[in-house]
Amino acid sequence: MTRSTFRKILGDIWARKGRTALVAISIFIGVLGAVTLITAGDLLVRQLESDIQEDDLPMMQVFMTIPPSEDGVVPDDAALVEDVRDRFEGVTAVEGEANNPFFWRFSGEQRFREARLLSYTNPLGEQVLEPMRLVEGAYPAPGQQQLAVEQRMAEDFDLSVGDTIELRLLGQVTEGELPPVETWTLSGIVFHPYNDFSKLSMYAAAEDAPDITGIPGLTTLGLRFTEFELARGDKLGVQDWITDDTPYMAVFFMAEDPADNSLVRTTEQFAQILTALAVVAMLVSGFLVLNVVNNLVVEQRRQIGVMKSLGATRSEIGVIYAGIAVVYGLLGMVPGVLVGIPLGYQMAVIVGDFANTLIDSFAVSPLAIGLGVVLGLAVPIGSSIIPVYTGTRVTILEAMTDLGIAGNYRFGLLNRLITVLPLPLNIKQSLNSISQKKARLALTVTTLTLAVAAFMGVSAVFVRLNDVLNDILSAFEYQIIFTTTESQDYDTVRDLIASNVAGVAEIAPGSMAVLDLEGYVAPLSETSQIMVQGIDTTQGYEDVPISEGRAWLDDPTRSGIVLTNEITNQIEKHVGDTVTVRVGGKSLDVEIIGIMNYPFPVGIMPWRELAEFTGYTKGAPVPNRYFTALALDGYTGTLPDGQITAWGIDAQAAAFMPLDAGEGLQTGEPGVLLTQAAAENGDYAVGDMLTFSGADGPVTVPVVGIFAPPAQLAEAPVPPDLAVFFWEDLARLEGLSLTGEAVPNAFFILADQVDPSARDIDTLIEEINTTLVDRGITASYTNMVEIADQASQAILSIGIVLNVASGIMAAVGAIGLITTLSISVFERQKEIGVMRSVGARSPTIIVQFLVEGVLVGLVAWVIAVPLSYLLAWGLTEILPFGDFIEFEYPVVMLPLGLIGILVIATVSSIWPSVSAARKTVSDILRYQ
Amino acid sequence: MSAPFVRVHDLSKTYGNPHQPLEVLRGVDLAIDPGEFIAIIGPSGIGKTTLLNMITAIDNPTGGEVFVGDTNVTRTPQNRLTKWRARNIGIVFQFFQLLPTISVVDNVIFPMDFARVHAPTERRSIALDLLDRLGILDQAEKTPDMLSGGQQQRAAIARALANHPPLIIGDEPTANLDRMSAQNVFDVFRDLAEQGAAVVVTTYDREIVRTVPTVYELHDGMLSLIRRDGSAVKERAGVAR
Repeated sequence: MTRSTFRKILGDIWARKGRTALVAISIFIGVLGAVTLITAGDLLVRQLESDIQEDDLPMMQVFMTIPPSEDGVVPDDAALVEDVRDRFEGVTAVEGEANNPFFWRFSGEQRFREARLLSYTNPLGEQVLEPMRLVEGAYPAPGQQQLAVEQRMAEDFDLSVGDTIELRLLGQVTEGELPPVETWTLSGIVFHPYNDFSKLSMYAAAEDAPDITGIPGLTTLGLRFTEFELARGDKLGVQDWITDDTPYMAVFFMAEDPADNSLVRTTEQFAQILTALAVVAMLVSGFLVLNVVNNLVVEQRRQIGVMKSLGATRSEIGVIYAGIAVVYGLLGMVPGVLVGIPLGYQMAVIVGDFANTLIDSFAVSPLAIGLGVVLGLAVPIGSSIIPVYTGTRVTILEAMTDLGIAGNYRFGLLNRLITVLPLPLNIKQSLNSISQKKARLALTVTTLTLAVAAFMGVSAVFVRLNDVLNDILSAFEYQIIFTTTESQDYDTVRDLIASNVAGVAEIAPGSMAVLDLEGYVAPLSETSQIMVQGIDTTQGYEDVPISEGRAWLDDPTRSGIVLTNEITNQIEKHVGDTVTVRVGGKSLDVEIIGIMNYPFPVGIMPWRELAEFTGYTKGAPVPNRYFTALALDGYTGTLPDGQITAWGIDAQAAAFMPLDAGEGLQTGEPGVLLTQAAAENGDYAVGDMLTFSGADGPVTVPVVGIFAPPAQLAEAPVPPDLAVFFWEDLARLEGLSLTGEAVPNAFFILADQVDPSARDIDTLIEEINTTLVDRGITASYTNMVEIADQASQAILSIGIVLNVASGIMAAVGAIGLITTLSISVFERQKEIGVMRSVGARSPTIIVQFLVEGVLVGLVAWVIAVPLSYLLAWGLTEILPFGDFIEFEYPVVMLPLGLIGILVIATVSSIWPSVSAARKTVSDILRYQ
Repeated sequence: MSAPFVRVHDLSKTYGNPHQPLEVLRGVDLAIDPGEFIAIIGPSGIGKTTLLNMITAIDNPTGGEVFVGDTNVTRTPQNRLTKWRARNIGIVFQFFQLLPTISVVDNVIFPMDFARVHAPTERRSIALDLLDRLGILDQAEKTPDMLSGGQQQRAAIARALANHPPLIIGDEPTANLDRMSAQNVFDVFRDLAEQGAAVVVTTYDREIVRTVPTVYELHDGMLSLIRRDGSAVKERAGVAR
């Protein structure tokens, strides 16, 4: 490049400072957006990939609880872990986790705060799955009243190693007294990237945790196998084994391939979306540059001819205009990169909350910087290629004989149509100007269309997200769900709360369970499991917001299930159809009585029906542990009043009974076994008919076997003389329910405060908890308002990012229109001069250019509408929660987009229009 | 007698479609010697610029040939003429056509950078020297919009001389100038011719050409010699010397 060429480039840049500024701003905005968005995405993904190691992830997680039937049982978790390793093939690692709520406060505070306490089957710091990292201090030692705190919670609450806090010891509750409060010390700060509750988590030794939370046992069992296929779909039957052979009941199961971690994948997808949006923003900038360089080349057509006559080749002239494009790029790219780096970091920190990761030190994304530099230069240069190529093709003769706009006026059909329209002259001139410069119109419309389409599409997704959020927030009215550690009678709990806690409008019993729904595949877990909530349909406090069907509106006692549209759409079922649900080997056919709009796979049933089906009952006899006393006609034995101890067993136990005589109990046939002692006491033999007193009168059954009790039974605290039945027969004899009475495993609270905040609900939870704990009832609480706030926050975070991207594109589009109109004003100065000289006033000229801008905007809007629909659909598909959101294009976007483009077009047109109107005749002559 | 530097032989140019052709040049012959100062007169639109465009190879004739030096410009491809033109022809346009965003001295340096006739370190001093010769050295760092019409035309002439071309073409170079400025410009052209360049200008101004030694008139597509070397003459149109 020669010196004069370089000076021409700088001279042209400087001569049209306004246009240069506009283009540079556009590129700056594009590069800023690109660097910011790509930095945020890149930092997040890199942090997650650093934090989350594939080899540390479980392949299967079983969420479990101790059912009411096992109340008081303290499971041997160490043995459970060993058992799992031995029993299931391919197991390479097992880790049990207890994650339960607890209450703490700073010394001197009145109010307790709820947080999560985590402990593991392996000592802290030695987890084999999802390990944590000690940041400062030491892991808590058992029995030393020590806890560790997660780094993010420590930052939020300004906690340090050595600080002391007060804990409520819920494991030492006695009825009538408040649980004791003890002072514990924070021994260490840990960073636990796998913890979704990191902002509210502390850690204790496994030996200490039950004393603090009052809840024994584990809540989750994590397993890793030699290959993921063993975990997929729980082929090995881990859940069933847990439910059948351990004190636990498996509630929920998740299998995830560590090589395809959903959090990393989701964040990568999000980062890809950010990158795509950033690139689109840059491309829109590119169109603007193309437009400007094209206009520049057209403007300087004569100069190009002169330069050719002076000996410049086409490529030498091309270098000049490409150089101008490079300078545009540099002017926008350099500040864009410099500002984008810290902005991107800040965005990563903000969005990092959503991704449950911590970006605590300033970091730079080389990828973002590289892309920003490349895009900032490549886009302007690339955009200038075509206009420079076509513009420099002009010959010296063509360039020197070009007479400008007036000389190119053609009488095409469109122009003739415009001529006959009954419009003011200045409006007709606007229309003619638009119709004449078709290439420029196409470029400008393309730029604006892309910008408007992107803006409308992104805004449509954001509006839809908010609609979904409203669906979520309005679906359930209650603000608190709590589950008691041991099963509690509903009436007791209700009366306790109602008489001691102000601010509660309703308390309803409920049930929560995870069921398999036949034919359904959940997007996240790829299983057929759905969460089902059991509500009190008779109480009427909760109107389930259904969109189809009547649910319990007409008959609160009817049986059935309400499913969300996410489920029914997938399995293609409607109101009136029957679905089959399963849990623990049992199945139930249930009618769909309603469909509700809700983005997650959820079902709603009457709570008693759900509790009975899932076995959350109390009072049902437990096979093999069922002992009772029955009156036997004419018998005298250990028990007084002619009674004998009866034992209910299941078929499996019956098959192993060591019989001395008889065939034993047969399924489906009445019969009783007697121990030798009982047979001797009554002088009974096999075949004798014995008459027992049942709840519905005497029942006569034959003796089908006599046996000597095995050693374990002989050592048990039961009399030697026993009558043994199948447990179902014994229960019927006594008039007991085989399933027991349904017990709520959840309570739903509706506050009487209108629109309470999360903090209001926290206060209410504290009061309820104090009341219940005072009576020896411990529970874990869920603040639904806080969850709704968190969901809102997550959606808002995404919405902010999307709106930033769409705002960038709208700004670039507006700049494009300003630039084009200002060029149009520049080109048509002679025309303006002539108009002025014949008496046209400023408003006339302003209107002419305003109309031109608005018309271009309208054309762009018409084309942008279908494009924005496609973009909204695409974004919805690829967003992290796209599986749960049914695509809808909010119709409101059409008028909103139209208003938006009219505002943009009007605002963008004002400056060039006023600038045109300001030009005087002498200004224009001077141009000559 | 040296051979003519410019030789135009039987040149014709026709515009328009076959049904309505417009014959602007018909069998024009012309010869220009080095050091000769020639003016071609005629009313606006008669074809003077067309004739100059043929000589400078900006346009192609319908028939005939043009030789400038040893180069048959009518048969040489355009891409090879670009640099050739920069080194052999200096063009002065009616509307000056200075590049508006760079200074006067940079306008003069511009063609030097493309032709590469002078060493890069010499170009600026040569440009300033040219401006000095034309009496506008004090305007060197100004942009063209800050100069008067006459000064702009002088700057354009300086630019045309930048590569010391043997042929200088002026297409209505004084059309936008006042009488005194126009006369000054013609004086410059005369000086250039005396220094050995072949100078051809077109004009519609019959007054100003009184000082030009050789004058042709273009009429009805044909060229008539009106005056040669200061003596009036009327020859048959299109006849070479």
